[in-house]
Amino acid sequence: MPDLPPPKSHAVTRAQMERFDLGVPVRGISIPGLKSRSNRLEIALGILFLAVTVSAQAHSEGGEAGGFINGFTHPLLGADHIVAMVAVGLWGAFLGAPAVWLLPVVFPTVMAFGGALGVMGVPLPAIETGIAVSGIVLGLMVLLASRPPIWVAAVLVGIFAIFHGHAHGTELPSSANPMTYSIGFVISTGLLHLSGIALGLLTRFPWGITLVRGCGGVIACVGLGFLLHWF
Amino acid sequence: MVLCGLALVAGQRTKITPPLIAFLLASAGGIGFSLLGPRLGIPEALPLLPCVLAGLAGVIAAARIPLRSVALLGLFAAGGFVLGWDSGQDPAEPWVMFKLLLGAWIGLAVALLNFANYAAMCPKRPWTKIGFRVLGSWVLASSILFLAFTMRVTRPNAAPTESAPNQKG
Repeated sequence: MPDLPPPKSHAVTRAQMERFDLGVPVRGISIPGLKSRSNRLEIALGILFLAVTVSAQAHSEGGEAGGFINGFTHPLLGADHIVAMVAVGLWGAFLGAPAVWLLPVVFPTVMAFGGALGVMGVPLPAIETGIAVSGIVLGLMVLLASRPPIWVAAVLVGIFAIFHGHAHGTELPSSANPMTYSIGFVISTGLLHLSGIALGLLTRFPWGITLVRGCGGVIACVGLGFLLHWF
Repeated sequence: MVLCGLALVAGQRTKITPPLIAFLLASAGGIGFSLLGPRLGIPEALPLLPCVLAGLAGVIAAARIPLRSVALLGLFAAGGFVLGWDSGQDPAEPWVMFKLLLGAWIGLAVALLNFANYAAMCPKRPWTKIGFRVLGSWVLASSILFLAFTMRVTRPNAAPTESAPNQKG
């Protein structure tokens, strides 16, 4: 039996790289055949440093870009708002069609009306209480897998949307660009809904139902915490 | 926002050529009408009109309101006219003015044709219909908020109220 040639190695050696003018392997970059523990450590440290870096603040946030950033980050800076938005998406996904699209359509629209009321200075009582109660109720709806008629769900979500919108409307920074602020604000809110819907789609799996209902319980607890905080 | 709203409305229809032609003609008319601005005076509500039209388009897209072809033509024509009117330039030499306004018209046309084309190219699947509805509601909500913010700016006496201390939102 003839001798078989040695198996070809796919690793690129230093000699091959120099012959084909590929340059000398750079420290810290993983090259087949040249792996070492120190290289992996350097890569890990590099990724870690990249992850913890912050953007340069050479330019102030103003004008149209600043307005968009202000509007986009505004809903993301309040945990009570986040849990309510995600709960709307969760509940919509739990209820299935047409609630899965109807609730995310109703909420931003009615929220904008609430925001307009806040901007115009129309007073609304117990705003923070309403926001906290929205987290409790929506979380309980998901936790209990409640399936009311679609119009009841839409009205309930719409009522809570007014409280959220009013709270945000009163907090509009006077320096922000109104147009880009509005767009960023609405997009951010809608993306929170979509996050909830994406999580709610796990209800297709048996374990997903338990997980989603558990998320509803957590949201209700967070809402209760905010309610107790305000009292 | 007007362009996005109109593109969403167009994407929900099959025959979009007549509305787009109406938009192009009306936007040219609006740009021409803007030349009369110094004589007629620009109404204070002009900046708000695009927002109202965007909200209208958002409602139609979000609720998938069936429109007759005449109403659809009217919507696109109104949008084109208002955007063209709002694209007026400061007085300049005739040739410079012509180039500015032609550029504004081309920009409007290219933007809407692009958006509408992309919307019409989307596959007619259930999720795209839902996506158009959601995007339409976003356009509507943004329009409402922008209207409110703008009206607050134009009304200096309407100061924002403090609803609660330490409000986080």
